[in-house]
Amino acid sequence: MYPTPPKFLGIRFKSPWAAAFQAAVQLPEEVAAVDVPVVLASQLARWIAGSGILMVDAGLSAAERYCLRQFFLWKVYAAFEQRGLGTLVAETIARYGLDVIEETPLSGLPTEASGLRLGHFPEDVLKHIKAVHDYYSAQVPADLPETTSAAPIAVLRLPTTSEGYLCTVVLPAEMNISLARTMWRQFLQENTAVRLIVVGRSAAAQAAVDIADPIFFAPGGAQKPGRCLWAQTASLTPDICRWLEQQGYPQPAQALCIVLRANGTLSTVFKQSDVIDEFALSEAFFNAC
Amino acid sequence: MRRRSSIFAIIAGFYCLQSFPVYTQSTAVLVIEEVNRSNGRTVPVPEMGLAIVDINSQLLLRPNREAVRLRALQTIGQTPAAKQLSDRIQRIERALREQERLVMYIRRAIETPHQPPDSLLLLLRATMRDIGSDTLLRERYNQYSREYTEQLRIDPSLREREDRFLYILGRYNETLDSFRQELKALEKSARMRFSLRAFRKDRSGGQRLHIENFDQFEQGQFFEVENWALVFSADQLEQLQKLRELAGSLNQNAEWSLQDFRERLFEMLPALRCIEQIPTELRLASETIPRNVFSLLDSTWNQLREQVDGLRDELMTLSSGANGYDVKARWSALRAQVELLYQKTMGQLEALPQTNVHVRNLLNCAQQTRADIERIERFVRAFPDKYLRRVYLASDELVDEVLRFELDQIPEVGTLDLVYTGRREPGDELLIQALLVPEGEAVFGQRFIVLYERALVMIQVGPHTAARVGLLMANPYTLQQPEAARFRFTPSAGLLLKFGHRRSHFYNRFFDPGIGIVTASPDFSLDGIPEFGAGLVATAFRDILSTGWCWNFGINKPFYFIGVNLPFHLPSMPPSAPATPAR
Repeated sequence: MYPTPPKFLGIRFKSPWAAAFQAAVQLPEEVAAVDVPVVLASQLARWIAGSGILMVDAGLSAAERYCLRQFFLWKVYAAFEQRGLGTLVAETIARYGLDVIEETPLSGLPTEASGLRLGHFPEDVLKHIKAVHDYYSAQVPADLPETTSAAPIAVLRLPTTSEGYLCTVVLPAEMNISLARTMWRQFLQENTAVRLIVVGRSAAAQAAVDIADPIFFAPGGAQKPGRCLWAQTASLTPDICRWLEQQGYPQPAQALCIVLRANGTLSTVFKQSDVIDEFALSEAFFNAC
Repeated sequence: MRRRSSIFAIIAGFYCLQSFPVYTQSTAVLVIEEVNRSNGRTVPVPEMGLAIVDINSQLLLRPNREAVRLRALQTIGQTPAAKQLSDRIQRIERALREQERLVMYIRRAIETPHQPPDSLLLLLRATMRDIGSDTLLRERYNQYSREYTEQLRIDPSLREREDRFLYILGRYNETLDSFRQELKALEKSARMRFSLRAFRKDRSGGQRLHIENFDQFEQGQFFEVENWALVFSADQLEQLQKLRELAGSLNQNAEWSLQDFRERLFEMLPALRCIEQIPTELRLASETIPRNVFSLLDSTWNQLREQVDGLRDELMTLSSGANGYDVKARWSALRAQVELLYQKTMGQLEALPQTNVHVRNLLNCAQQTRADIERIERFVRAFPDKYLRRVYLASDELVDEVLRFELDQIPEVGTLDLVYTGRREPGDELLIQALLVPEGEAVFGQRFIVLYERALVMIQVGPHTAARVGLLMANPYTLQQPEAARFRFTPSAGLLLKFGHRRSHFYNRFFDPGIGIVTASPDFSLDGIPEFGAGLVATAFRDILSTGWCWNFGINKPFYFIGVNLPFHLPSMPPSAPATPAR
């Protein structure tokens, strides 16, 4: 792997990055194929958080950081593979693996890492990630705790974004309702930014999400980015309507886009019949700030 | 007796009317002034009536721009382009106000770093409200936002480098630029060519005369100098004036903001003085540092110092309008360089024995420099310098463009030098016209519209001479002669001194008196041999009538005479300037 074996310090399980990584590999007991994008995004969000903390841990060498990130990335993959969902996540995991290679200084990379982009994707990358995992397992003390134990759905963290979007989490139409509810509640509770909820899977909803996602990701005016949730899940709609009623909105069934302030209060509601363009969404964002 | 006095009264009344024309208070399109060639004095030519000018004078023709514009408006009304102007002005004004508010916020933000966040939000909301109330601006907002999104999808890190809102406002800036183009087109289409022409009219016809600044005369042909008037209403001009002030203030605020930014950067630079200490510390720690590490540290940190010095120099000479200079790129390159150097040298520094105080200093200094450069780079990255530069340049150009509206391209004065207008006679008339020539199609079926027309008559106002020949009826009152010898016809020639009158046509055209000397050849001795006589003469009524007193040198006797001059002129010898110069 490395011409001169680096000196590894091993996993310090009390460190914050290790906790984040540990959380990333804990999947709910039952994950349906349709839920995979959200669950994977949720797990990767934790893995990214772990990576971020790891980067500022000055005690570790670049080589060990690299090994640690790939080590836990493989564990995320393995958790899905165990449930027979490996093929669904392989490409995303491999892409993240390549990103790790890119983000690591040359001095921290093993010799096998070079030229992976040109090989078979995702097989070669996954093979490499597994090789790093095995190599690191062999180097660090053997008393690793079990990292693939099942977790309740409630433990799942709302992902940062879904595939293809910049700051939008998509809850697919056929999603497990309890998982969708968990995500929806977490989204409501995330009182740190301006948020948008798009309801339904109509063409109008699709158009609104397409416009809103980049606007909430980069609203401009020196404002913090917001977040979007596209609740396609039909069975979640009654929950959303109930919540809207509680907020005092008179026609919840008509709601298409709901803009929340950072403190969680309702700011603007666009109905199906409203004109929802770049300007309307930007204005709604600034009004909610 | 009564009849005679009424004739005098009529003559005096006519004379007075000519002498004291009624001056009107209206603003004339053209003011004509006469410059006396001999003494350089300038006198205004009366605004009414057939004015009299000296045949050898210089005429200054001063068009009144405001009056030209007003007369043009009264004559042809507003052009379609002028009607569009108000709408454009309102839109530009709104866009300028948006920019002004934003620039002011940026200024406040620089001056008071702890600007309450609400003020920006209020600004954003107010701006959005303004944009939302205008369909066109909203459409443009959508378009610019989509453009930003497209770039963002390609590179999500754009969010860090460029603010969406500033990008959109920047694009509105370009709209200002397009407004500028529109204004330019409007200004061009609202132009009416203004022309000033002069003709000399005499009995044989007329001839066009050259007016300096308004036409060129080359090889017998006249070429018009392009002058124009803008047909806009006073309200619109006032609006334009306000627009110019707004653009000017925006321009100034943008410049001040950029200067503040530069000053803030300069204030931050001393934080990097630690770099200056690195060579000293390195030298002092040289005994502890292996040679290869020493040279690596020395070269890399020297490189950094040079870069910082370079940036400082660039900032010193940076002007507000330097659009090509990307201060953000320069600082992020510096930061990347520092990061690289830091990564390259930190390991080496950390590996050195930390017991040496200079090694510790080096380490601290490297860390401090890295942190300071990061801090400065964050400040630079957050500052919308590009946007401000664009505002600065766009508003500057807009000011120029609006200024073009305010200034009609009409020269202040045209000069008609009568001395250089060729052969002319006293009594010839000058016709001066101010014309509007519409661009493109004719207005009211006319190729040009006469705004002003004025006829002047040229006479010799200054003292001048005239030679006259005629017949005298001489009476040698002291000579004892038969009745038949009295008032006998005698040929005579006289040289007269004459003066013109600036105001009286009666005087110039009819009375036209003269005084001078006369020679005559009477034959008072009746021997068939004429004697020589000479004396003084006074003439009137264009020298047709004359009277005077002479001395007959042949018989040494005086005589007086009345005479009639023949209606032709001999070449005269003026004492000042030739009446008919052959130029």
